Amino acid sequence: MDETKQNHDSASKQEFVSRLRQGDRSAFRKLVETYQDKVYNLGLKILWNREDAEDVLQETFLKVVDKIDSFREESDIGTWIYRIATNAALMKLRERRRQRGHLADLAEVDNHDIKPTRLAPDAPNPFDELLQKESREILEKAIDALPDIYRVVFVLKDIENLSTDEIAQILGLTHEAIYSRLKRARMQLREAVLAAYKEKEGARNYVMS
Amino acid sequence: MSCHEMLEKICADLKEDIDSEVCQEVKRHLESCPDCRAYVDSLKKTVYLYRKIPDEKLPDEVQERLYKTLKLKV
Repeated sequence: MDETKQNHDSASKQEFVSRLRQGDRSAFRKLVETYQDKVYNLGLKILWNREDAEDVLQETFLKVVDKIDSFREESDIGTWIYRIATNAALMKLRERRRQRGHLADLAEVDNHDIKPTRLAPDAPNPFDELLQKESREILEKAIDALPDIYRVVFVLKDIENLSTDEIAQILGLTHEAIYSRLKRARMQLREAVLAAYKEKEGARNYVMS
Repeated sequence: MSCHEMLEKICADLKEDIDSEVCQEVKRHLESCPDCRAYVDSLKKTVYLYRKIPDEKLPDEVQERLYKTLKLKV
């Protein structure tokens, strides 16, 4: 991108943010239109519940109105909105767990010693079977078993494809902390998919020694 | 490197530059170890399964309620 265009983009971003700060309704409407589907789908992928995703959507944009004065212009407004939405989704997860009484889920599980399940060479591969049929229920159960922060890191990095820098800004974590949570999330999710599949289908497997 | 250490590396470095030394070692190990190959394959498929869930268009009634809350005209 040439310097003139960069300057122009930067100037128009600044102008857009200043219109938002002045309470310009058409600028705010444009912002909502641009991000409403993204925020709703982020909520759905973290919470797996339409009602909760709608709450996250409403809370996010109400907070945008409330906090626009604290938005720092050197940041990206999209990343800022993702941060608000992710925090709203985390709050919702905690509220849901409190209601269900799953206090243990609030803590991060140290699963350094988790042993990956090995698939027997002659057994049908559940992942291949799941790809062939409706797997939503199994996946939902598997994601539900993940601690909140693992679930959020996994969705932001592997599903939403955000950069590690963006996730660091959103969650206030170091790159190292993000990768360590991502590693555990992937492994735990895989194990949970296998466990849910086994429970449902009685797949044959054995544990790696 | 043991199988377990190898798996740790794979998990942490799935996005590592393919030419890096670690990645080359992982690659060599994978070529000779069907267990690790199956493991990496299932990790990739776990991510793929999740990605397969399509994005939803915001339902009209959800958008209406949002705009009402934000005092925007539908």
